[in-house]
Amino acid sequence: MKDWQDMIAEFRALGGVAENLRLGHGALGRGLFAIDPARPVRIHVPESLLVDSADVAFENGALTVGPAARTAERERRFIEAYHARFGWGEGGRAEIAQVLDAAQALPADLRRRLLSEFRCGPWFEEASEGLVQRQFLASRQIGYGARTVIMPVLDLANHGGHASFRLQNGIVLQATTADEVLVGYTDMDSYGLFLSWGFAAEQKQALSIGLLGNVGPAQLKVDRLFAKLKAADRVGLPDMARQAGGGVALDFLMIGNRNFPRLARGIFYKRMREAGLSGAEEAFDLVHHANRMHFLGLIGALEDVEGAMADTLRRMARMQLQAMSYAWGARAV
Amino acid sequence: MSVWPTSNWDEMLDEFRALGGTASNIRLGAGALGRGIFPIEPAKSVTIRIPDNLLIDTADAHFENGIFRVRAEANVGSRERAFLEDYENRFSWGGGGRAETEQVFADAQALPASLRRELAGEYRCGAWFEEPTQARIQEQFVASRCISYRGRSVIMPIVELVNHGAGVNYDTNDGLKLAGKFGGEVLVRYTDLDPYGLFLTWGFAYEQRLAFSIALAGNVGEAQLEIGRDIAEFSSPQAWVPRLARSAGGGALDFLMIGNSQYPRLCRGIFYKVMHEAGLAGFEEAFDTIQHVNRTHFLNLLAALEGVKGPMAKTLSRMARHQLTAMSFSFGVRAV
Repeated sequence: MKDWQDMIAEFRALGGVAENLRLGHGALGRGLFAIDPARPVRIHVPESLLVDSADVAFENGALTVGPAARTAERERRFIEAYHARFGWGEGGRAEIAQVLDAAQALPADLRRRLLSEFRCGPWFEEASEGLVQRQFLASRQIGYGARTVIMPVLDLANHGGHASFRLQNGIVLQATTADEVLVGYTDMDSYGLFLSWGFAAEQKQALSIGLLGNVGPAQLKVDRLFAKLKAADRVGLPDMARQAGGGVALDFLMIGNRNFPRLARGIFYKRMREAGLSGAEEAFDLVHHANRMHFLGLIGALEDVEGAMADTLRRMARMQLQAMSYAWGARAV
Repeated sequence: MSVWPTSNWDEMLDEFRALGGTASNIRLGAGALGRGIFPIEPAKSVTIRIPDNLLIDTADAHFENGIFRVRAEANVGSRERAFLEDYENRFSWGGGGRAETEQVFADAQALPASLRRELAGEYRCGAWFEEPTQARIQEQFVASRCISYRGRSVIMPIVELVNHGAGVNYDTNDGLKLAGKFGGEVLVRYTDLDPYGLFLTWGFAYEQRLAFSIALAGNVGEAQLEIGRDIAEFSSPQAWVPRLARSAGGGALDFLMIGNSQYPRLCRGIFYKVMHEAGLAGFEEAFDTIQHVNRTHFLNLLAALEGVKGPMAKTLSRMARHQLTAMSFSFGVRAV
């Protein structure tokens, strides 16, 4: 696989669709662009080219598809060649390493605080090749039915815009754009986006950090567990589990939504009503307060700190605070 | 006429005492906050008291060719006038106060012009972002040295050299007094204003217990509501309750507390009480919306400062963070 055209030819031969598509460089770095901006771009990665991320391994610095994978030989060769040339090998690894380098440039004590107190993710662990590989995979994987898979070609699209992935006999992206082909990677919040991809971007909603609190006398546990959500799902109603002692645990909690600012409180009230708990109004205020203090504390910890990572984290925290501010009133859910 | 030709601190204090002032166990020094007042013996109490005869109205202060003067028509004795003018020109305005004020303006001027315009206009960050004329520098200096005292706005000599911090409060029962024990620098809480208000007057950022809404106009149900920032000094928590001036289409509050780290349930409680008394409905969501508008205002300010270098950008970012932190202390509601 010498170049983009060779790769696309083999991709099509294996059942993939790549219409009106070229590789280019834009404001966000390497990305996908329309050859003819007047026509739609269409990409379809067939199921046969989706590899479970658990089956991906790295050998001598190269991304390989493990022997347990349900991937045919020609598809396996394509995926490994694709990653040697486009995905991991020439660009993807370097992008991840750059985020980790920016994290490593911060003072060690601040890195420790970012990792533990502010829960900013593995970016702040000790740098190693294993960490680069893990973060690469984490940033490229997508939920597909019950599976978590990596997808060639589509993983070159940068985050943004209004288009989203469609799960349809594989994964489809279709968009008409005068500029770069962008796709909303996720409905996750700005914080979640940073945890997975290491950049800051505005998102429509904010979800609570993991925390323990109270609703009246009962204990409330809020997690950030999104495993049950698929790519096309909209993060909304959380699953609720009863806890010993009469408390409840939510697998996540929306605390702000730019499009539906009355929804966050409405969802929380609904779940608390279902649990038979009173005091939901103040409990929601307190969850909000804890989240605000968390991200304001992060901004405070970054004061006087220079560098690309400090700038990214400040922007992420500010965007998270902005999204969570979109919560007023309460709507019946 | 008594003339007071002194050039040093001790002589100035002697004259101050001769005019009825109290200044015990204090010295002028420099610390983390710059020039300030320190105890001579930290184990002993510090007392500074300015008598009424040395508290002149702010309106009686003016400048002639860059020299601080007390207006001829001011109701002040000649010896007091001589003391105040000499004090201001040697120790306050002329002894660092002018330079401190000019420095804040200089930091503001170092920002890009387009950002300065945004800060003065959209973000209402005050006179610091206007052209630093001599008149404006003098105005900001006087505004940062005055205090509300028995219905008057007065300039306070000596005490104005004390820096702001988590220290004691002013005592205005008999003259203007500041007293206490201080292990390090003598600090006084200038005001119960919020971090935003503190910046507008003094040009620095500091954590405060309270947050007040920016001035805004919105709705409570069908009625229009205006909120001002006409914030007087708070002698007691009762003063946290704003006055509502009714109008045909709604009303206007002179201010609104939206965060209080000591009494976080009080902000909503006060708003609900005032709205309830006014017979307005829909105030629960209105309070949420006021908080949202305020948060968005200061988060947008943070965004406007992203990537901007220099001391003023840092001060403003810190101020915005302190303001957002103070306003976050509002949860639940308490009956008022």
